[in-house]
Amino acid sequence: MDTVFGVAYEGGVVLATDQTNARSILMYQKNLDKITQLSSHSAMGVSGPNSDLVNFTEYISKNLALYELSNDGLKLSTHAQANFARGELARALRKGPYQVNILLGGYDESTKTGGSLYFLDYLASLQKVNYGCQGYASNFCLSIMDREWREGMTEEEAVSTVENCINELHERFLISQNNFIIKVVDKDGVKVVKYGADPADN
Amino acid sequence: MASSGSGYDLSSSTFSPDGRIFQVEYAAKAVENAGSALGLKCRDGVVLCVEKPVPNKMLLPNSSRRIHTVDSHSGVAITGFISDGRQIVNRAREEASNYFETYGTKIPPTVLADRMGSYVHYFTLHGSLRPFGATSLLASYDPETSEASLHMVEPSGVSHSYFGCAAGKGRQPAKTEMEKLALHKPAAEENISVREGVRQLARMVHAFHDEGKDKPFELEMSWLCEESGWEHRGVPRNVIREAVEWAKKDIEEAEEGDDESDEDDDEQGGDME
Repeated sequence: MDTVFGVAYEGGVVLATDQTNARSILMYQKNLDKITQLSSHSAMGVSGPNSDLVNFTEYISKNLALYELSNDGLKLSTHAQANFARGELARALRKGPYQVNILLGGYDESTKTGGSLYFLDYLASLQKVNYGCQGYASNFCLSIMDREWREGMTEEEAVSTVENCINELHERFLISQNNFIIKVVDKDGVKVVKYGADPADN
Repeated sequence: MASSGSGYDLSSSTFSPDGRIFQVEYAAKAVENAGSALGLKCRDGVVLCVEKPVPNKMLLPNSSRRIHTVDSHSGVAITGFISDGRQIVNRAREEASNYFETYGTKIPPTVLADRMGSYVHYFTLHGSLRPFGATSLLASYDPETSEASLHMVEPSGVSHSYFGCAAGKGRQPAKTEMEKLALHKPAAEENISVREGVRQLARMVHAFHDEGKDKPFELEMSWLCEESGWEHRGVPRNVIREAVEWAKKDIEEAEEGDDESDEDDDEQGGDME
């Protein structure tokens, strides 16, 4: 039911998720932030049961922090972080799988365009993509991204594409997802662009 | 020079009263008596060089390797107990392979050097194990930062990053010669190139080789530079040959220079050849 989008642009990545926390017919919460920060310049948008979401993201982000502490402040690139996360999904797959579908976005100075986006799913597949969606949203939104994404996109254009996708879901998706949270990962780190409901409001 | 261990040197898990672990120091001695291994970090890459004494005329030339590729972008030169060195190289290969499987990226030089240091160190604190009698010189390239580096891991487990380092028999004169080279000038372009580094290392090995005392030797050299595609490769044989020719000529000219200044001196006048 969760919706996760990502669009990579020249200089960073936009990540967006819906803010609904629900199970079966009951909605627990309308202001959940499903985009967790992994390291100073990377974040994961995650869909799936809240338990696995929290467990998996905390496990990965703490292991990344441990790497920096153990190796004199050396940082892992987004590519390395994505491979590490996929390895953990693969390891757990035939023991006790994490039922999470992820879009991992990060900024690296050394790469050509700066921003890179990775698609990981619950079966531990990993693919670098320019844009992506997880969940039912892909049925509605991939075509919009197909049409609008271009190389050398700016942050404004990428955010605008994401907003077009959100509007499409509001228009045509059966399940009502009123609130979305949009974050951007660029050279200055991870920042919130917009949210439907303040995640801090508890 | 040799101080008596007097009972504190029987195990690597015993400190002496003056705070030394003799077994580790003895391991370092094993390295000091072996063929020289030299490394230079030049402005555009790293060069490794090993002087291989040929103990037996029946040995097939170039059959015993002392420089090993640990990953496409990393190479290790060993000196000391060669069999001990092989263990370190194998471990380094495993570390590099595991790292790639976990992170999908080539192991960064500092991480690899640390892992090798930790591995070597482990053998200095278990009573049932003996320290490695080998020093490793690691030349490695980090694709993320586009920088090449040179590390040396000693039998105690310490590892440092160097502009120039030497281990084995000829390390003292080598270090003196290296300090004269332009390796760490603040303006990067003033430092020597990899090609120049190859020549200088060839020169050092030949200059320090004593025809009378030392066994005949083979030279093994490798480099990591743009010319090698930033992969750890053996220096092409024609480049080594050219470097050795240059080295021999340079040594002769230096000796002739000394001869000339000797003729001016009345007292000296000995044969410099």
